[in-house]
Formats: sequence, C-alpha cells, structure tokens
Amino acid sequence: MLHVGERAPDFTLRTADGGEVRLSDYRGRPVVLAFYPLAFTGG
Amino acid sequence: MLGISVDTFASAGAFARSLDLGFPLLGDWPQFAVSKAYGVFNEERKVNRRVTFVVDGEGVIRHVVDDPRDVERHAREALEAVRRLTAGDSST
Repeated sequence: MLHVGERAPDFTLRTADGGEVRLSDYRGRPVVLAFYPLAFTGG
Repeated sequence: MLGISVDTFASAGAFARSLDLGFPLLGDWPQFAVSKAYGVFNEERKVNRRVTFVVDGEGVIRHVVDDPRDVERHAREALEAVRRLTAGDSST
C-alpha cells in the first residue's frame, strides 16, 4: 500500500453518470480518495 | 472529493444517489487498476480494502486512514487533513 510522502499515481476513471475524472484535474487543491468495499455492503 | 469503488457503474450510481453525495463516485471495475496501483485491492476476496488517502495539491499523499471497521474515523481524519492542508496553503 502507498504511504504518506509518496506520489499519488494519476488515473482516469468513469463516473457513475458516464463522465470521466482524472486525478490530475484536481492539481492545486486537496483530494480525498476513499476506497471501500462493494456498495451497499457497509463493510 | 472522489470515491473509488470496485462496484459496477449502475449500482455505484444508485449508491451515490441514495447517499446524496456531493462528489463523484468512480468505478474501478472490472480491472481494479487503480485499486491495485494504490495497493488496496484484496486479491483473495476481489474487493477493495477500506482505505482513505488525502492527496495535496501537488499530488503527494499527506494522510492515510487504514481501518476496516471505524467508518467514521475515515471521514473525520480526512476532513482534518484537508483542513490542515488548506490552512497551510499561503497562496489562498
């Protein structure tokens, strides 16, 4: 797993509504990346 | 804020709507490329671990929450980290 101080790898992913988001689009402001297990499982 | 799920787009959309999230929810399914790049993919169970990264404006990871049980802690610590980053940015 990546740790504090390491560079966050850039990526492009689809949004739920069909758009695209690149991490580097957010350069200049903080970003929170929340990885989580399957939706609706709660854990 | 970005949320990354390994779920399908359809159910991720339903999930986002059910929570009325103010940020995009992204699908990393079915390749899990991003989850693997960040080292949070559980190969055995084929799901993400619950991990939150806070990335600063330069693209460097500044805070990590790795706790499978305490969901509240992820939101709390992420907010604190973003506030610290924003407060420490003299250009704004």
